[in-house]
Amino acid sequence: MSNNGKIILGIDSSWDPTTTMGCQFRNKHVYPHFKDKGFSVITLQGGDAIRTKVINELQKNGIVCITGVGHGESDVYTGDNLSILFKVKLYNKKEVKGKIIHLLSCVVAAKLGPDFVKKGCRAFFGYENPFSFDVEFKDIFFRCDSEIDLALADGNTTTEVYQRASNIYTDAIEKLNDSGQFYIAGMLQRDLNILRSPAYGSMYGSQTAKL
Amino acid sequence: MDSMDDILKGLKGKRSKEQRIMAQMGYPAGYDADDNEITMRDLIQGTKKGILSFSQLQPKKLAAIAIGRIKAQQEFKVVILNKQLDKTSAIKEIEDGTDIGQTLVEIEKLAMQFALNAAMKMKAKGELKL
Repeated sequence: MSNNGKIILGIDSSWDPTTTMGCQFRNKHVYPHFKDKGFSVITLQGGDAIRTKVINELQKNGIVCITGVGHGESDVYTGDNLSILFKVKLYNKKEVKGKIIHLLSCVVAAKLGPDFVKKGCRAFFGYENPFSFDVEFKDIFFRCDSEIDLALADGNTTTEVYQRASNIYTDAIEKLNDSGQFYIAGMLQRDLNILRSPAYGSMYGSQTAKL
Repeated sequence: MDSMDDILKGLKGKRSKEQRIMAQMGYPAGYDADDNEITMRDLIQGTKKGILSFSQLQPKKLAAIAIGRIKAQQEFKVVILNKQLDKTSAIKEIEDGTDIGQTLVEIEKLAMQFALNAAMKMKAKGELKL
């Protein structure tokens, strides 16, 4: 099926070392994959990751997916300098209706993700507790999370997307254990344990949705 | 994109798996019946009585074990929420009982279980010298 005319909106913080690492990885590995698969990609990063610009972009037709890295709390996803991008009760349901949303962000799956789904978002992927990573091993963590975007771009259903993500996390954990990197394996296992998606429950949307 | 194997290949540390397991032998891993802290070596040897392993402990003791294990690590530099943590700040988060502290304790539980599983496999193969 053609992805012509389908737009991916990437909203990535890059104002501090943590988010910059994630943003750089995604620019190198995630957005090119969406483009390779025929999607158009719009990114709001750095100083552009602010609510007014997000609202402006979301008025465009054709946006099928919102994806991004940024700091979060249970009911908030933030952009540049912790400015609020989405907060429970403080956004319009038209902004998320019909879209699949993936946020690499701490705790947002606790309240914000289910709120997106209540407002018509088709599926949500995110983390229910603090996401952790080791700076030296950061690419492993970002690579595991990015499997969600890659699998969505490949046309998988949300159930298949979760399975692919779970598989790559598990494979990395096994390999880290094989090389004696138990602490890194523990961190990765913890991140997998707190990853939420429609495979976890209907509060995260449809198990058959796809881009 | 690089495969996970390629990413991991570039990150292999200087120590072998066996060296990493042996380094963990002295890490705190639980308590015995007399409330004395025990190590992973004690858990594997199984000679102490009434052992409570990491996963069976009350939160306060879990925190103490996690702190002991973080102190024992050669290097510690992790990111949780929007904080970059070193040993000192990580320990403070655990002592203060924050969400970050709880996450660190959970990670220690998982890491210890992985290390213990690996050590028990080595023991079963007769490759572990305690």
